Amino acid sequence: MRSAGVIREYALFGAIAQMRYTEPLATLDADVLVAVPDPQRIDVLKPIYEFCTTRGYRPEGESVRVGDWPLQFIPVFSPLTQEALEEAESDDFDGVPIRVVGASHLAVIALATGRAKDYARILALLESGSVTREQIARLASRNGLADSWSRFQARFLNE
Amino acid sequence: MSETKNLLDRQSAWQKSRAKLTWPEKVRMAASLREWAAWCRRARHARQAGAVSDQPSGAHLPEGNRR
Repeated sequence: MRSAGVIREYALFGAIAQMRYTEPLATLDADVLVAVPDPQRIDVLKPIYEFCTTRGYRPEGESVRVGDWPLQFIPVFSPLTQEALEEAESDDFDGVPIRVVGASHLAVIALATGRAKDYARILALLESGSVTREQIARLASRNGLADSWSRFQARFLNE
Repeated sequence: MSETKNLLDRQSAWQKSRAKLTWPEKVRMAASLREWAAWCRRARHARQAGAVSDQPSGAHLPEGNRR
């Protein structure tokens, strides 16, 4: 997809990325963060869907079915997700090299999203030891989320 | 009391075994959870329609958890 110019870059994120560090968890789909050549177009995902369709991967609602998983392509939507994509790590998945968002960016993206399951993700990542409070604090501060992090700490971490 | 302790010991051992899984193994386990949830939905619909549904294979589950 990169070599065809459909996307500039990609990285797994969401629950599938979280599972690199934590226990397995239930999730409906696999999220893929993507940078596209023309992020301003209204139908920003159309080239991705067309590319997948021509290769036999059929769309299912907002996802594209690839093997066992519906993949949901999510264009970068903030400076934070742009940075997460640029600084994504490389890992090996059954012999296949794959880019995946790192733990600190996963935690701070979750902090920015702010649903209950996102807060659970932050706690799981902290408990796994894959990220520290200090790393989250620094990244949150750089992205204008210092207050959100303070509130999270007061609510969930300060005994 | 001993029953509770046994339960907690088994739970702890299960948690430790999950922590040792590799990333692909965890993703496959998550896929099996999806398969199981989908089977439950199909079974419910089948019951409502008066039909019978096959159970999922559980092939992605760790050996001790396969049906």
